[in-house]
Amino acid sequence: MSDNDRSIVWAELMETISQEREPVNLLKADLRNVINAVDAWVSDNAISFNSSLPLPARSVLTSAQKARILSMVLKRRFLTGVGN
Amino acid sequence: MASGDTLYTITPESNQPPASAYATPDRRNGLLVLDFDADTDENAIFVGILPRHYAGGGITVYLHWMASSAISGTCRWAVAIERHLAGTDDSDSDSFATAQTAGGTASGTSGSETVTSITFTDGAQMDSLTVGERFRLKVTRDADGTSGTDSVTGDTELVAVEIKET
Repeated sequence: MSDNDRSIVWAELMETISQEREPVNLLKADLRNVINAVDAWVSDNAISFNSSLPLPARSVLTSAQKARILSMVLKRRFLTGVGN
Repeated sequence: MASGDTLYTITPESNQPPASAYATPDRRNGLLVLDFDADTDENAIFVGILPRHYAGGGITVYLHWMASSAISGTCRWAVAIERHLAGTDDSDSDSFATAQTAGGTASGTSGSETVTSITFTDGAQMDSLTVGERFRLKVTRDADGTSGTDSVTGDTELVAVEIKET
């Protein structure tokens, strides 16, 4: 993502944790570093993710559709506490 | 009245926000607060009249605030005064004096407040405000850290403001 998009995610995350009043013992810059690292990890592992998809979906789905699936799975895992 | 006496106390319901970049009202366990973003400078503006018992000295502004969720870090605050001289100043435009700034450390207990003080000398820092005159007090979270470090993650919540004669 662009630096601006990373900044938007950072701001949205801070707004969310503020609204929910989740105690956070991290400084703003530390949280921004996390966003940067996660985004970099996604970029670095995009090929691996794509390779994990079974055929024929791997060749049929668009990049946007694959990204949507990934985001939906991650969101559901978060909401149901998988990996917590 | 004299040095050390409280001139004014302000609470969030008195806010007369600017048209943009304003702190947003919120409640914390029933307590009305003004939320200041962590990534954008936001403002709250309060109107008052400098009381007749003001003795002519400098003032100290005490900001009572909490972090919404952070339990560490520094919040950078800026406070500016705008004198309204009747018959001269135009309310259709802003004329705040240069803001005075200070940082305060978030409490290690979420929900426990920090009091940050900012001092103004009598004269230009107070926009030459004198007794009996109307003024506006603008409180800003310097979220982009222009005047100093602002490192608190997430919103900070302004609970109250005290103006004391220094």
